[in-house]
Amino acid sequence: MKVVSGTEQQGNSSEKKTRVLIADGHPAVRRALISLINQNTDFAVCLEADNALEALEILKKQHVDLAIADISLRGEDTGALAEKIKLQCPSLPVLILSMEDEVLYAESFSVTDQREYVVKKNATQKITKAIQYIQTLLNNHFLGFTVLVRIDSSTANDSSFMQKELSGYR
Amino acid sequence: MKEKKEKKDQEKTKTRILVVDDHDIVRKGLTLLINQEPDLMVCAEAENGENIFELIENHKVDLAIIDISLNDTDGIELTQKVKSRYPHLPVLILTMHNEAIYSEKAFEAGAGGYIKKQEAAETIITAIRLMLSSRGYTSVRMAEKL
Repeated sequence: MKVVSGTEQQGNSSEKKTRVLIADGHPAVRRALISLINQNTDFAVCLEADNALEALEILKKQHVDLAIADISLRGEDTGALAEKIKLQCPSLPVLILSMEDEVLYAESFSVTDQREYVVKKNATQKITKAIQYIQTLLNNHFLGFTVLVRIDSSTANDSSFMQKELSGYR
Repeated sequence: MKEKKEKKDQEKTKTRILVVDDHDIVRKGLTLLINQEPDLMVCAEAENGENIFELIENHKVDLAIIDISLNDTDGIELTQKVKSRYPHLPVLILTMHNEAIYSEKAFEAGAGGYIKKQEAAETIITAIRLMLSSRGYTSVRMAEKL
């Protein structure tokens, strides 16, 4: 587990923010996500994990409001991780990130209450948008939902920013 | 004014790195990682091999980091292209693949290093530094397979 420097020291100001755990095997992607998410004044990335088991351990011990996980996380496939999170923390919203050829796999994993974004290029912009969308859901007291962001680098059809099946519960 | 000049002078002494990756989030993350090092800086980014020669020349690139899987070409072909024109420019291949065959191809193409995207941030920086000291780099697990 890695506590993101600076976030734990912010005292009351960080307590009011949505506490985010990032579970991703790529340090460069984690760094970019921390930077992106911390730009939103309502969110603070407080914890990082580079594998699925570590992410589940963190969730046992720490309070987290939103988990962001790479679908190809080491140690466990994230489909299973998402399901385990649902068992362990049923009300915790989860944002799943999927890159490259894992699209078909992403479509098949059996998480209920799934919301899906398809992202072609400009993933950073689209993740920012997804975070804003999650913020709206949290402000409206939705809990226990899963948002899937597919980061597909192909050049085909950049317009497909798709939202699928709006369920979840309040 | 003075601060700007000092910043420019500092930048002149830094090693200039080009990052080629089709995922903007990876480019952004690598840039953040590299730019926190006092002696390294990302001077240019590209999502594909288009205009790579112009980038290398215009930005006076000292080292190129190239993703193995790009949209318009693969990173191995691009490395070959770059090395045939700039044989002394170190190229570090970035990959998500474990298979030794990819690393063999990368080295055949002229890459001096081969590193998985999943390696720790410190390891990525170490790999860059080893490349700059002309020692080359491949991750320990990859080296065992070769």
